[in-house]
Amino acid sequence: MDLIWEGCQDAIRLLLRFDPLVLDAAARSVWISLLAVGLSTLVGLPLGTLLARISFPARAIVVLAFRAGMAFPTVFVGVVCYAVFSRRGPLGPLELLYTPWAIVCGEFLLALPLVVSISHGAVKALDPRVGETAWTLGAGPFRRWRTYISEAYVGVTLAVLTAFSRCVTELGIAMMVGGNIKDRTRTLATATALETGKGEFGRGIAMGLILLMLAMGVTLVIVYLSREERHD
Amino acid sequence: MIDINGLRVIRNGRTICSVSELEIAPGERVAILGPNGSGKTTLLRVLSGLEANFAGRLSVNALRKDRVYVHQSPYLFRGTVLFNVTYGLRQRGTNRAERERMALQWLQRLGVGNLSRRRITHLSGGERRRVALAQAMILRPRLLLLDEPLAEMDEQGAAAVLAALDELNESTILVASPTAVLQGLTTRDYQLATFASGPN
Repeated sequence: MDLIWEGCQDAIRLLLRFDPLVLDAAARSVWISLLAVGLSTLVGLPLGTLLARISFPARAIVVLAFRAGMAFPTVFVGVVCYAVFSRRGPLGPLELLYTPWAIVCGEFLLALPLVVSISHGAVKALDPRVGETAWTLGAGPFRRWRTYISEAYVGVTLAVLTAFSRCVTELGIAMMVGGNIKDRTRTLATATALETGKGEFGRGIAMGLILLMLAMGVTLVIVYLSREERHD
Repeated sequence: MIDINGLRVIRNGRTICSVSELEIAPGERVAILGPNGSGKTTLLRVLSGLEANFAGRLSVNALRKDRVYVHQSPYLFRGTVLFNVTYGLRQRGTNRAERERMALQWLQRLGVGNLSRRRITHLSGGERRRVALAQAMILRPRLLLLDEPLAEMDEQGAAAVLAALDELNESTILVASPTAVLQGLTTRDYQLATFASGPN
C-alpha cells in the first residue's frame, strides 16, 4: 500500500513540476493518436457511409470484417505492422520501422474498423426520409453524404472519440513498431511500462494518470453526447 | 406535363398502387383522393422519382431537380428553420444573402416568419409542416408533390398555405389526401381505385 501511496505522491510532484520526460511522452502520444485518428476518419467516414447507403453483394461480409476488426488485439496489429515495415517486409525500403510514422500507420489500422463500424451503424440508423428529403431538394451525392454525417453527428463523433481513446492508450503497436526509443518513439503507454519496470514507480503512475485523464476526458465527452442524443 | 397509362406498383406480390389512365396538364392542381392504403403516397413517390420500381407507362415532363416531394410527415434537418428552408437553394448555388431573403419571404407567406432562427426541435407539428412546405416552395419546382399537406394544421395555417401556393402559378401541384381537400387548393380531383389487396 505504501508503494502505491508514495508512487502517487511522486506522480503528483512530477506532474506539478511539468517533468520533461512525462510531458514529452504525453505530447507524442497525443499527436500520433490525433494524426492516426484524423487519417482513419478521412477514410473511415466515407467508407462507413457508403456501406450504410449502397447495396452490393458482399456488403454484409465487409461490414462483418470491419466489426471483427474492432476487437483486434493491439499486439496483433503491431506484429502485422512489424512484418510489413521490417527490413524484409514489403514496405521495408521505406525505413519506417521504429519511427513515429510506423506507430501512426499501426494506430490508423487500429482506429479504422472503429470509425467505419460505428459511423456505419449511426448512418444506417438514420430515418430513410433524410436521404429522400435531401434527394428531392436536389442534393447531389456529396451534399447528401454531408447531410448524413451531419444528421448522424452524435454517432460519428462517438466513433472518432472512441478511436482516439483506443489509440492514445494502446501499448502493443507502439512497443512493436515504435521500439520505445527515448525522444523519438516513446509514448505514454510504453513509457509507463518502462518506468514501472525500472522501479520508477512515481513516473509510471504520473504517466498512467495522464493516460487515465485522457481516457476519462474522452469518456465524459462520449457520455455527454449520448445524453444529448437521448434529449434530441 | 404528366401522362400515366396502366401504372402498377407491386410489392411482395401485392398491388399497392394502380392508375389506369391519368393526364395532367402543366399548371394544373390535382387532388389525389382515396382511402388509406389506396396508393396515394406511392403514386407521388413514383412521380417524384423516389420509386423507380413500377410497371406501365409514365411520362413526366420535368427534370429531377424540378420535382419536389413533401413527405406526409416531413423530415427536417438538424439546425435552424432558416438552414432547412435554404437547403435546396444552397445546392443550386444561390448566394447567402439572396437565400436568406427568399427564405424569410416564404416563411412570412406561410405565417411562420418569426421562427426563422428557431431550432427545429422547438417547433410544433403544424409549424414543422409549414417549414417543410417553405423548403419545397422556395425552389419553385415545375412539379410539386404534397402528401397530406394540411394535416395537423389549424385554419389559420391552412389559409396561409393556400395563399402561399397561389404564388406558384407556374407549378403543377398534386396533393394526396384521404378526403376532399380545402376548396381553392386544387382544381380537379382524381379518385384512386380501391383495389383488391390480395396476391396478384
